[in-house]
Amino acid sequence: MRQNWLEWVVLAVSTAAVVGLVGFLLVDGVMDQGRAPEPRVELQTDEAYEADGAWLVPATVTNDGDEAAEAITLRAAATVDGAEEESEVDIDFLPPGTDVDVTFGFGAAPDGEVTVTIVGFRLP
Amino acid sequence: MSETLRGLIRGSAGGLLVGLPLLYTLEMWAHSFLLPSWKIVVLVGVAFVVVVGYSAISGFRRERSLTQLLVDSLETMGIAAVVSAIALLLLGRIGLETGIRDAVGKIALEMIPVAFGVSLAGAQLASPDDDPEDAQNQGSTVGDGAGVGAFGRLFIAAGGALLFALNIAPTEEPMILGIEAEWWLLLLVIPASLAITFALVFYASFRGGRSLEVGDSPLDHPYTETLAAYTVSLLVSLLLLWAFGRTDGAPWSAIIGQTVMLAVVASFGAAAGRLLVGGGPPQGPQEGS
Repeated sequence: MRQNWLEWVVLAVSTAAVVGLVGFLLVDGVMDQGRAPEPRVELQTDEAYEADGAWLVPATVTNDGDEAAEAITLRAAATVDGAEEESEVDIDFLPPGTDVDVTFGFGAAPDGEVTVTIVGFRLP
Repeated sequence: MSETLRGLIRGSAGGLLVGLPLLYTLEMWAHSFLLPSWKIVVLVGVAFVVVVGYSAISGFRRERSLTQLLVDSLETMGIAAVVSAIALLLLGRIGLETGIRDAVGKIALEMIPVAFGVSLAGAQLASPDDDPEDAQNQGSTVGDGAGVGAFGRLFIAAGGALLFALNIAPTEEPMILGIEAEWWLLLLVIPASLAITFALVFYASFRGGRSLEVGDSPLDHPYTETLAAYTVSLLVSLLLLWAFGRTDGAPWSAIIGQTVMLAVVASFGAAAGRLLVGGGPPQGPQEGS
């Protein structure tokens, strides 16, 4: 019934793709403990740069929970030239396991540590 | 060999033809991680049943064993998975920074419309000289429709309804339409859907359209068939709304409103599907004229 190698390749790849996708989702569904979203922010302070008079600090946001979070608001705070400055960033969607890159902006290079707080998010 | 390759290319092209609108839909990308894994598995399972049913009814490569049918359908899903994965990669929707669950969810969701396209391409878009035996079966009707009974047509109606409604269901619009619609508006939409799909199949003289003659089965009557196909459309709409989380915590009035509004689209798909298979009671004199 299968006359040539290409048909065998198509069958093999198809089986692998479908079994792989469905298998992964089934295992994921069984293992899913329904943990609430756990956004984690990692600042890349050493990669901060200046642009148009602003001091920009990149950060990577990950979600260690099992569920996605929607409309997350992050607030970074730092002391710049003796005054407290805040920078807010919104993220539309934060799926579990996916990295989202954001950047916080300040008036100038902060004097000390930049602290990030999660203001809040919505559950899907 | 070259025939296999042609089939593969045709399938991929057909898959993209049908799948592209949803590959470009924000809600599909988001639902890949917003939906629980088991719901995606249920959707893929329903899609597989539709693909199996469609290739069984469409009768291309006739005289296949059940195993052959299942293998063909598995290949349809496999081609769809590979095509969606490549498309999502090229569109920058999945990449190295994408979580594995997110990526798998996106491919699994997007492969559903793509699989319908692959399946349609195999049965409907094949070049007539590709397989001389199939030549007379090309065009608007799958075979002469003789082998397609009333239930077969309802099954095709469900497939068409799923195909059409799937393009709309993930978006917010059916929800807005359903929630904002007054009860009397919904009461107008239902007969309008019935009337339009009735006219589409029995009066508009499309190829594959049918005469008003009545067959043996109670479902072979134009009225009952229209009603049954509409009911199937309602069920398909409800299934999709549930799958995309639109029924969670929604009051009954909102669920009914959304279902009726989505079923307008679904019933058009159901009508288009029935035009595709044609068949039923003896074709009217307008056929081919």
